[in-house]
Amino acid sequence: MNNFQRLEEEEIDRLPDLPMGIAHNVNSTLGGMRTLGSIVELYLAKIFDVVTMMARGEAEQSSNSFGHTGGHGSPTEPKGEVPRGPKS
Amino acid sequence: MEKILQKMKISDEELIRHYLETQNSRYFDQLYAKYSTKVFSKCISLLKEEAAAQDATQDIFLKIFLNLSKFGGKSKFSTWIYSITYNYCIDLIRKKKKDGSIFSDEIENAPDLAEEVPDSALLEMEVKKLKIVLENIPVGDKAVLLMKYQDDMSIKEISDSLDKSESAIKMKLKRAKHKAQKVYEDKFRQRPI
Repeated sequence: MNNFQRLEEEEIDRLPDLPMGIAHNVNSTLGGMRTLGSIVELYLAKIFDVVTMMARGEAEQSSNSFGHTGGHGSPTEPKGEVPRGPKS
Repeated sequence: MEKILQKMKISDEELIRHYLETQNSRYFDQLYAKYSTKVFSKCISLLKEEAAAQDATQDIFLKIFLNLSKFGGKSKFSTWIYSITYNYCIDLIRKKKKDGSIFSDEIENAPDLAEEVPDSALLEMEVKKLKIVLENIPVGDKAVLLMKYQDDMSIKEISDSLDKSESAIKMKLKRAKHKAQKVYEDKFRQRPI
């Protein structure tokens, strides 16, 4: 053991006690973060699905409204179908 | 359980593995009990304020356990913990000083000193005098000297820890030893009797 290490030992001997609350605080913060992580992990996929569905819905709506501007088809026709032409 | 773990003398790596697998606070307690005093001691030594050192110790342990999975085992666990401790304290002091001059470009741009202070010049100082010397050199110099001589870190480990090149760390050490010797001479050898 060199003089630097002896100095450290002497300083540790004179060190005030470290509050017990520190370990508890760190542990509870870690626990809180783990819980938050689990919640995010559990629900993030579902939230992502909902957002994707909403975005897709909006996109389809806007593409449908674009399809009707030409006056072809009927607003009551199901989505995704090609507008029918005039009956012969 | 803690007594059993203590009796079994489980290695740090085993404790880390168990903690990561189970998240059981017993393993946390073991690691905390082993290293908290030394981390606190280093924080007080660098920050010089008990309250700031307590807050720093809490933040450092939070950082350690949040990044525990990133500990690759390339160095000793103690070296990894002390690196985080030094970096945290240096960053804190740098933020307080606001000029960022603790490690600045002084390292890279410093002129080479002709004479190398031998290790023995530091290692043969009396403990009380060494304490005074370390209190009177810049905190960046103190940190590299503590890493090298107190924690037995290699130049490579210090350079990895401080994100500097090995040659920059060698130069920093050389300058820190030089400053320590000068403080010693000013304080103890040239003092009027």
